[in-house]
Amino acid sequence: MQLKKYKSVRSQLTVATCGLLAVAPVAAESQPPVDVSVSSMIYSEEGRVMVNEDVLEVTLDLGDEESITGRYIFDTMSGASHNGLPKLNTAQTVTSPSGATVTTTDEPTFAFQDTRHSVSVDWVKPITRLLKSTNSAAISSEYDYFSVGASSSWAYDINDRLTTLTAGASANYDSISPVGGTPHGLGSEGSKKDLGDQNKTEIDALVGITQIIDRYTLFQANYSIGFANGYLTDPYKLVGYLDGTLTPVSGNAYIYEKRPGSRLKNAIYFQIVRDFNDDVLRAGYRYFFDDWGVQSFTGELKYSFSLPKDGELQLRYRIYQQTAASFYHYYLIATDHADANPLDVVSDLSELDYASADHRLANISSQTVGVKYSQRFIYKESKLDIRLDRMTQVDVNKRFDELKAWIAQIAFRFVF
Amino acid sequence: MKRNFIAIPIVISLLTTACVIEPIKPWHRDVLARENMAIDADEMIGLMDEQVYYSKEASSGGKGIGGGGCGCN
Repeated sequence: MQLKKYKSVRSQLTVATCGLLAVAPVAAESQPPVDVSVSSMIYSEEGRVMVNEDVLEVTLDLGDEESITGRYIFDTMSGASHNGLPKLNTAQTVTSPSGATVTTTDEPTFAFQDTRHSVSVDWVKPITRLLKSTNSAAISSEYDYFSVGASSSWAYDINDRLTTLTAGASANYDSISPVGGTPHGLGSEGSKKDLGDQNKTEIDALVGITQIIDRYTLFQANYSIGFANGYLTDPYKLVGYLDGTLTPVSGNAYIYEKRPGSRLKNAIYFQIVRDFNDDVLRAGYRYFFDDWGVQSFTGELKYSFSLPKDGELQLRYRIYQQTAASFYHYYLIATDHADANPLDVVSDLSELDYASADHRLANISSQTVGVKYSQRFIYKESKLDIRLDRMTQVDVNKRFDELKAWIAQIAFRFVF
Repeated sequence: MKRNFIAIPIVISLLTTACVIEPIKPWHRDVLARENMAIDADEMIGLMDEQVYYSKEASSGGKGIGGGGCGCN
C-alpha cells in the first residue's frame, strides 16, 4: 500500500512536470501581457475645492507593438468655488445655483458637489515598420455636463529612427445642463434662467517632432491649434457691478458673466530630456496665446535622482504666468473711482458685449513645487509612484486672495 | 512678461541647435530605451496634472491633443 502510494506520487509528479513543460510555452504565447495601472489623487484647496480622482487603466498587448488601453476615471468633487464676485468691505448676500442664500464678508463662493465618470479607449496600431497610429475615444459624464470625443494621431520615424514626426487631430462635443437653468449672459442675478441646455464643440490639431540629439538627450517640439465654438461661458459665475463708493449698485448688483461664442487657441511646446549618469533632467516650456487676449508661458523642471535598489526621487517645479482675457474685469464699476481700472468703468451695461470675473481668466501667476518617489519591484514588473505637490496661484494685480492647494497621488502599475 | 515669452524659447532653441546631432546606432540606445527617458514618462501623473491645470488656468494644449471633457469648477 505504501509502495503503491509512493509510486503513484512519483508518477503524478512526472506527469505534472511533463505537463508543465509541454503546456507552459503554449500558455505564454496564448496569453498576452496585461499591464494594469491604478491611481488615486487628491486635490485639496485650503477652504475651497476638494477633488478625489481615481483611475483604473488596463493595457492589453496584442503583439507586434499593437495594444489596446481601456481607462476608467471616477471623480468626486465638493467644496466651495468662487462665484466671480469681489471681496468688499460690506457684507454681500449671494444665492447659489441650488437656491441657498449666503451672506458673507469674504470672497463669495457657492457650494457644490458632483461626481464624474469617464471611460476612454486608446488603440495603438503599427501601420508599417516606421508608421504608428493611435486612435482614441472618450466619454465623460457629470450631473450637469456630458462630453464625448475622439482623436487620431500618427507617428512616423525617419532618419534611421533618430527623428519622429507626429501629427494628430481630435474633436470633442460637450453638452451643459446648468443646475437651475441657463442664465442670460449679462442679465441680472435673479432674472429668468430659461435658455435651456447648451453645447460646444472643439477641434484640435497638433504637429510635432521628436529628435534624438545624442546618446543621452531627446528633444521634442510641438505646435497645437484648437478651435472651440458654442457655449463657452461658465453659467455659475457672476460679475459684480459697483457704484462710485464701491458698493453694489442697487437693483443690478450682480450680473451673469458672458464670454465670446468662439475661441482660437495656439500652443508651442518644447521639451528636453537628458540623462546624467542615470539621473534624468526633464525641462519643458510652453507658450500659449488665444484670440481672447490670453497669453501665457509655462516652465517645467523635473530632476530625477537614481537611487539604489531601483528607487528614484524626483524634484518637481512648475511656473506659470498668464495675461488676462480682454473681457476680464475684477468688477464692473458704474462711475469712476480712484481704485478702479479705467477698463472696468461701464456706465451703461447695455454697452457691454462680454464680461467675466472668473479668476482663471485674470492676470495670474502660479507655482508648483513637489517631490515624487518611485520604486520598482521585480515581482510582476511592478512600479509604485507617490507624489506630493504644493500649488500656489496669485493675482498679479493683487486684488483677490491667493489660492493654495495640495496635490497628492499614489499610483501602482503591474504586469500580469 | 512679453520679453520672457520670447526669450525663453529662443534660449531653448539655441541650446538644442548648438548640440551636434550624432548618428546613434541601435546598440547605443540603451540609455534612451530606459522607461524614465521616455518623452511621455509618468503618464498617469501627467494625466492628473493636465486635469488640474486645465481646471485652474486659461491655457491648455501643447503636450498632446484632446483632454478636457469636464465642467471644471
